Amino acid sequence: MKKKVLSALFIFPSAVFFAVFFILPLVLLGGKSFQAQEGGFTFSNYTEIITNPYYFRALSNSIVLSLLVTLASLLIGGVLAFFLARSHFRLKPLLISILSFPVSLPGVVVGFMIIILFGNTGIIPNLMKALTGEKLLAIAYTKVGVFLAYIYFIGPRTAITLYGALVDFDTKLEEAARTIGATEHQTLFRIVIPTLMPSFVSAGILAFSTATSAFGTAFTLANQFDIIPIVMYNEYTMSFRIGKASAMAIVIGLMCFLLSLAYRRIMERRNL
Amino acid sequence: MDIRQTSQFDRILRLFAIFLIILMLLFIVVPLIFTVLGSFSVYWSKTLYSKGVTLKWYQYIWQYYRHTILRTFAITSATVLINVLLGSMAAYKMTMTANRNSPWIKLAEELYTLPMAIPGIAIGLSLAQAYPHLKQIGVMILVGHVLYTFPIMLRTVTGALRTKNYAAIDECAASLGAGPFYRFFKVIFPAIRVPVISGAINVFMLSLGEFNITFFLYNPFVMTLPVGMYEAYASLRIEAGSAFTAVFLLFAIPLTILMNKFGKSQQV
Repeated sequence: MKKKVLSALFIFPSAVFFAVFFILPLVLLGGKSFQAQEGGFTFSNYTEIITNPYYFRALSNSIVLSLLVTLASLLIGGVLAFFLARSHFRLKPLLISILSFPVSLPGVVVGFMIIILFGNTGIIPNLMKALTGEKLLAIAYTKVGVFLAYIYFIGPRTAITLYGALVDFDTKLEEAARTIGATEHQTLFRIVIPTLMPSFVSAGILAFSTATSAFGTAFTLANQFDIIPIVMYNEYTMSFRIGKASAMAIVIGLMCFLLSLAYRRIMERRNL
Repeated sequence: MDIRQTSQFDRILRLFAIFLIILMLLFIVVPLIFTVLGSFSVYWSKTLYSKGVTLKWYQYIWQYYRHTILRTFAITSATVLINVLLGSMAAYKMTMTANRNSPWIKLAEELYTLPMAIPGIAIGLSLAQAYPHLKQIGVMILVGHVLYTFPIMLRTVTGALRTKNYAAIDECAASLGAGPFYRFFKVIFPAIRVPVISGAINVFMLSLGEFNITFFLYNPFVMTLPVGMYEAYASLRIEAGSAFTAVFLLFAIPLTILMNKFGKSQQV
């Protein structure tokens, strides 16, 4: 008995920490999301995300942005990963290190990188002015700027994830296809891509949920562009609509949680 | 004819890949270089140094954000220490034989990795609402950081404990009469110190750069580097923002290199 108590001490501190600082706050957040501004129970915090044009536009902006970022990241990441997995050169480790650097940068710094590149005194607008006489592409604070910022850290991340899967890919399958007369791009589209599909789907899920939950980057850049995390922050700090903010947090949280479940399902099946 | 076509297709694909890699590299590296260059500029407009070179932005950052920088390292170090202890203790308990199939342990493992799946802003908002008083004292940032980085530490250590048969070593020590604390601190912990250190560096890096949770939990007296950087971007000149970012990079780049080195040495 004494032994059991002693060994329970190992997990007890973290369990208490999670109960007090994780479960309880999330339960309270859920409660708040059903609370009307004047008090009392309501569903309107959730229904208004759909019915109120302002919230709905933020939601659809978020989804469209995340989808575009996911597609672009899969394309860029896919090409980069294929190239890296299939070719060998001396600077490859350095290249991979550089690609993995943006992943560990805070979102606000990523936003600042876009300001350096595409801000009013940015490198690209100054370059355009020197070339064409006109200050073009000062797009840091537009939708395109936010999109590019997301590509800055999600693109390389997707490349690294896919690279991991491609390195493990058994090239014998490919050789077998080639020996029975398949052309190179037949092999690519009939053998390589279908086999790697689960990796692409899971990398896509990861990219999508990273994009929907990202906040710092958009917050540094989004002056004219409303997405759900920004609107949620504004509701909380500027309008003091705690119920609305909580409902939005629950919606994004649930979305990312479900996506992570799907991601795990795919990974587990692949490992069978 | 057919063969020539495929090789041409292949060549175009290869050229496209090389082009894309170079573009991506420039996209990543060029703004980082210009951040450092711009931080020494007196006035950055069309040209960088037409008005001269200066260190005044660094002086400014040091003068107004010195406390923020020092506090960041205090919070980050505390996060690492707490998680090394909490995380490896929980991992030890979860991987030893007697507990392997317990439903409670399975549940705990699910719960403990959840902070990775839930967006930082949701965690930040929930903590800010639940403990407004603690937020005012400034301890909530530490709580948020511990919560956010716990899964990484736990995963690294449980992964290490499952690769070799540590459960058998543990039982062996137990059969010789060693108590659980002795076994953990004198037998298991020394054996897994490399993955623990690698997890600790990871936690340090994540905590240093954390913004989403912190932004809901900071107060004007207690904030961290990324929050300070955000303030600088929003209200100061681009040169000052660059200097602040350069200070951050000064810590982040060596840490990333260290992290990559450790990642490699663990695979061997």
